[in-house]
Amino acid sequence: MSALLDVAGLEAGYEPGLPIVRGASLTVGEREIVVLLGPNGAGKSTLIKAIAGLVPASGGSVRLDGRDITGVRADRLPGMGLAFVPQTENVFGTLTVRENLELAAAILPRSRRAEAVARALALFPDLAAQAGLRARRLSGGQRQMLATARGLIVAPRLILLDEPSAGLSPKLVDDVFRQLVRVRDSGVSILLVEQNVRAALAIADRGYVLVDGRERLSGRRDELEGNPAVGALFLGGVPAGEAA
Amino acid sequence: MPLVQVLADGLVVGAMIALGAVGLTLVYAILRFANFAHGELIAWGGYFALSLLTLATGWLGLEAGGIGGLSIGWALLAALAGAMVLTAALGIGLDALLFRSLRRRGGAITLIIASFGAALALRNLIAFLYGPTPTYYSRAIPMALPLLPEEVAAVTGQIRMTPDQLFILGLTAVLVVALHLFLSRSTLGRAMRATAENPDLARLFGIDTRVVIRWTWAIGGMLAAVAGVCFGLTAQVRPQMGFDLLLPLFAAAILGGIGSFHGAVAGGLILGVAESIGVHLIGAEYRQAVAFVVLIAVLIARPAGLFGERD
Amino acid sequence: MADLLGIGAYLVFFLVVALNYAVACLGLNLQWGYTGLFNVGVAGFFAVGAYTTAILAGPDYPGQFGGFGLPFPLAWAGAMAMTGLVALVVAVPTLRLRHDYLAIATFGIAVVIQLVAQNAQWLTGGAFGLNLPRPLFDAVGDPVLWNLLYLALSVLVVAVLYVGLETLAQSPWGRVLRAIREDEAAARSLGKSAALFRIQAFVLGSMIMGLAGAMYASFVGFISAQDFLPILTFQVWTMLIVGGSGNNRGAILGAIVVWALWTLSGRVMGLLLPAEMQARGAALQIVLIGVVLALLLVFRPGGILGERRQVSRHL
Ligand SMILES: Nc1ncnc2c1ncn2[C@@H]1O[C@H](COP(=O)(O)OP(=O)(O)O)[C@@H](O)[C@H]1O
Ligand SMILES: [Mg+2]
Repeated sequence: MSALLDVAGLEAGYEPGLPIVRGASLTVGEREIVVLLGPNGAGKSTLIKAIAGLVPASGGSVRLDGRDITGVRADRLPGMGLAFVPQTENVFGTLTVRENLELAAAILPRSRRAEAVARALALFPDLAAQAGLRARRLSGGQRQMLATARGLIVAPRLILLDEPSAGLSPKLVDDVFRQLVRVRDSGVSILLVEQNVRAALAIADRGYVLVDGRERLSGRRDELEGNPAVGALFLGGVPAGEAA
Repeated sequence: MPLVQVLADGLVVGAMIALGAVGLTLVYAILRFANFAHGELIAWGGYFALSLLTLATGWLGLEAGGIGGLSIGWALLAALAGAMVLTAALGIGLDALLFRSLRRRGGAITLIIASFGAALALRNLIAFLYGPTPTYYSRAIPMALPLLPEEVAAVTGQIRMTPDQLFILGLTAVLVVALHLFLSRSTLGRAMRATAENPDLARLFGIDTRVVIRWTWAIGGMLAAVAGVCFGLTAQVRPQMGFDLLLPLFAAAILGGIGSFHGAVAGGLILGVAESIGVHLIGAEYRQAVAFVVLIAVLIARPAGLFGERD
Repeated sequence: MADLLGIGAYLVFFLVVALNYAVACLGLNLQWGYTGLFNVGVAGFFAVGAYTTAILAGPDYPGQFGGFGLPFPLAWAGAMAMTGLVALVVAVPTLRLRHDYLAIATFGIAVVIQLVAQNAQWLTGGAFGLNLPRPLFDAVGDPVLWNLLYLALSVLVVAVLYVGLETLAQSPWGRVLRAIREDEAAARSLGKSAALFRIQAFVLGSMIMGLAGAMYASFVGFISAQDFLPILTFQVWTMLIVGGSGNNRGAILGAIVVWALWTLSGRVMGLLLPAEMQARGAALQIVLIGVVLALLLVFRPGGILGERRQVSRHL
């Protein structure tokens, strides 16, 4: 059986001849949460941006459900079932909460848009209360909810999330991760980049550790949790107190 | 001349500047460069309409004469609609041939130089094709009508406007309201605002930013054509008309906060009135100097402009 | 034999004008090539230099400001000082802002200067323009010989500027300018002093353009508003881009090459176009040069020579 997402030997970077991602391979299966760990600057963000079509790939391939999507324009991927929520600047601050959601829903057939927006707001009751507010006025946690809700609105099969817990209070981090489990249980696969190693591994099915643009370690959650090398890789890479 | 008349004349000029400044500011918001060729879209709009007017009256046999007291007839309205389409196409073509490939590599500065070169080429192409002499859509001398009731005019002074001037103000108001609704309500309009804020994120929302860019040029081109025809109606059609409007367009866009639609409208109207007062005080030959003074004053006092959101 | 002399005399004339452009081009290179400052008002600064020279060195006419009859070295110095002053007015409010604002402001000042040239009769002579004596013209007597001497003077000025600018480029000052141009972050970290460096480079570059205007006025002996249209700005830019920005030798070479092409295309246009189209030939020429510039930007952004040592990231 082939995986939902299959990344093989991917090379990508911002300038020609300077690859940041250097031959990375990973897979995400159906209804799976896969966490991508690694020290700062390892190229995790660049890797998922390359999967999402924002950074050009100079080698390797990305397949979604068996279909080659390497080099497909970023704006076509939501319609193909792949959504990406970047770490920062992930909502339009000048648009209201509702306008953000309506804009994301615009790729759906007209008849399904209103219902999709309503469903997204129902998933995050906090947001529903702020629907008329410009997104730049939201708190950090609400903004992250809106970004996630936007990613889910097109009913993707796979959602890529870049550090959704960054900058949130511990209480909010728990909320976000609980929400992700529910999302997975509703049938959406998740590829999650995290610095928050312990919390991320707690909800993940499998994980990869990326170092220097290549996956160094991989395994099921329990394998990684028990592996002292995982902790060692993060020494100096993660603020004290967060490292596993 | 009574002050109210100076102000009213300023609003008419301001309406034309606003139409141009909106296009300039939209291109800036989406593509992030100061387009020195925008004035030439206005001039080309004016000349497209001139050619189409000849076609409409000559071949289609539409009445050249005016509707009501206007010097604008059905023929010119048809020519205006055609000119809007053609100028939109010119903007899209310019982007496809020149700016798009420069965008992929060079920074905003290469785009500015290219737009400066394109402006000279486009302006001189008009001079080559149509000759340097100014011309008119209509030879009719429009009648200026008093607008204020006698009792009011006795206090404030009378405002006299030609039906053409009133038509320009009305048309501008309609276009501005329509564009406001478009940008705030329609999916495409919101996609434009989204692309202006963050093009990469817009693509993640499933927005094809190339389509957005094409519509930006199309809207800018259409408004430029309207501005060009209005200028031709109230003054004359001449190859320099776009160049002469460019400094006021920039001053208006920066006054309103470059990238801001509402700012460009307000900036255009304010600048038109300021020009009108300036002309009244120091003479018509220094009209554009008013725009320069406003520009420098804004840059010193409030570079983000009156309504600017970004730096 | 007479023909050969005629061609030689024409070549001298051609070279004087080309070197005149080269001076302006060197000024622009200091602003754009070294520092990344975008000046769309070259014609304006050129005009300030030319008019100041005419006012300082010209004869006294009734009802006309100026006519101080100063010797030309003093007039040229005054021209440079005046141009520097005008540049300062534009630079101070704009140089701490985004580069677009400088472009727009320089465009604006050039438009205003053109208005003054056309309309301020008491100052610029308006449509009638201004006359001024050509330095030592009567003393030399022979116009061809005088042109030759003027060419020697132009070569001297270009050589001095070239050596001076190259020395500046190698100096710590020049290296800071390059850093400001290449790296926005470095420029920001310099903060206020980056703006100061920008202002210095902009004013100095404009003064060199003013010198070019002064040399032009002294060479032709008569100036009017028609000499300083936006096309002049465009020509100097094309010269710099063709030569390769950031490269002083390229700036000089670009000026000569582009001026040669310009003159030549004008001739060809004159031969090809029917008589009734002649007036429009000049317009067509500008269209063609505009297209060439666009093609150059798209296909050969580094210019003919390119920048020495490193390729500019801007062009
Ligand atoms: N937009 C960009 N342009 C150029 N280089 C970048 C850009 N974003 C990140 N980089 C570089 O790519 C490398 C990897 O960054 P990133 O993928 O963000 O790492 P991570 O997410 O693992 O911390 C870093 O060296 C960073 O400097
Ligand atoms: Mg990252």
